[in-house]
Amino acid sequence: MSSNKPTISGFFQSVDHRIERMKEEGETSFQVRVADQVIEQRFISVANAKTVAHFMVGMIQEKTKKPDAVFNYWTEDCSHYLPANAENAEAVWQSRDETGYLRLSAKFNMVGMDYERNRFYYCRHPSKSTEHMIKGHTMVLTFGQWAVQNGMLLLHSACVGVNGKGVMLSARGGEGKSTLAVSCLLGGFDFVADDALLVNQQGPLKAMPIYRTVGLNQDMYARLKPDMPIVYVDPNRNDKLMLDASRFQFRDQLPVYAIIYPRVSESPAPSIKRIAPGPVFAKLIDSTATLIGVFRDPEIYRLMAQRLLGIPVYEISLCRDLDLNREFLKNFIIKEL
Amino acid sequence: MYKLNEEKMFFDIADGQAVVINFTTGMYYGTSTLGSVVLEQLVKNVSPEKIACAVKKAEGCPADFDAKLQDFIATLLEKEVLVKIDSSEDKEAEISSDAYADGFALTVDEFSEVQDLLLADPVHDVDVEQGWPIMKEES
Repeated sequence: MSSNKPTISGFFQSVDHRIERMKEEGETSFQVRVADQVIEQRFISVANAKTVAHFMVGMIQEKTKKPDAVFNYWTEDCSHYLPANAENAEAVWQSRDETGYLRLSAKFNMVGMDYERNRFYYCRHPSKSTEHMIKGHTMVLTFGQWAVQNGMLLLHSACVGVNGKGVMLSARGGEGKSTLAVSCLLGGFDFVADDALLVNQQGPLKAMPIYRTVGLNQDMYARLKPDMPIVYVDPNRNDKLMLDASRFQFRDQLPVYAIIYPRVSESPAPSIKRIAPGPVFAKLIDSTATLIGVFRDPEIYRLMAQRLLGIPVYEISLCRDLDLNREFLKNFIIKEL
Repeated sequence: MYKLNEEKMFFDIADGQAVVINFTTGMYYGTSTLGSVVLEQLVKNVSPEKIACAVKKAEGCPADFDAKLQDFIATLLEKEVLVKIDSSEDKEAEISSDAYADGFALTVDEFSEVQDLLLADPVHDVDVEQGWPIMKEES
């Protein structure tokens, strides 16, 4: 291959120089340790770096070594990157080669990956809300891309366990997943995540955390009264609270023995039964894809599906008593898994 | 009669819309609102005849609905979402009025990414050797 051949990686090296010049004076980056990898998160704004660092509480480490991966986030008019002859600014442009991937929606964002240097890029158009940039979504999206390139997958699930035996709690938003997970965290369970986690692509399934914040709606916050500082109140999700749970003991990884599909019921007591896995796997893959975007790549769907096949799936019918639910799940994990 | 091709497909109904994922290829399928209801009925062992009978009772049902239903099933078989089975069980169709929220269309859409569902704009694939992406000269 000629060294002059243009590549996606070469393009992103030019992008690095460009965003380096945009950077504000001050601390615009931090490093986190996730899944035993050091990731440097770089911004051009000190304020954005500070806010996102707040979400990554408990995962941040001293900048002591060369990072394994770099995530770059910046704000710019993305039309700068349109092809010279682009006639339709509304279109989505994408390119892929053996060195990387790039996707550009000029009025919204540009997302890219440099496989050769393990670098990931998210450029936000200035007309789009800063909230999108500084809240979890963009970060989760980038972690999702990074995970696939590094032998892992990001999944939209919670994970809790007892005595080192974990279960993933998988459901779409609003079905009781986070509440059950946070209740378990407060009850002393092994804990990995309440909403999004990493799993290994190969070998016995294990779940790993991305961050040490948890989310609760206002009602459940009032009922559980967790002793956790509030990181963020999300006005777009009925004032859902993001809470700093870093003082609690998170597991760096937890073997997963089953997937539990929670369903809120009017029953006076919780119950559990084994169910056909297909609908739960479809929910999990679909909600994960919605969460992270998987960029026209059936391979990621296939990887997620293959990762899930063979894992037993149970449906837990939850009652209104949070303590009963938690103890019921605890007994199930200890006795049945 | 038909059943879900469980050797290859995960299937779920979310907010009234079918989600079908071929776990051997990663391909993702969606259907129209009525298509989602019909697909759910088919995998619940309801015969096409009983489905057609129920739908044709609805006001505004097109005269060629039988043919559209056959085309829909043929597409689901072609995509390997459904497989034929011998079954004597034939449940009654249960189709609520919500099924007609988007009319009587029976369509199967093949998506290779969820983003395509969200972005109606065209996606242009450009090879790097065709000259994009390339960093523009700085002014």
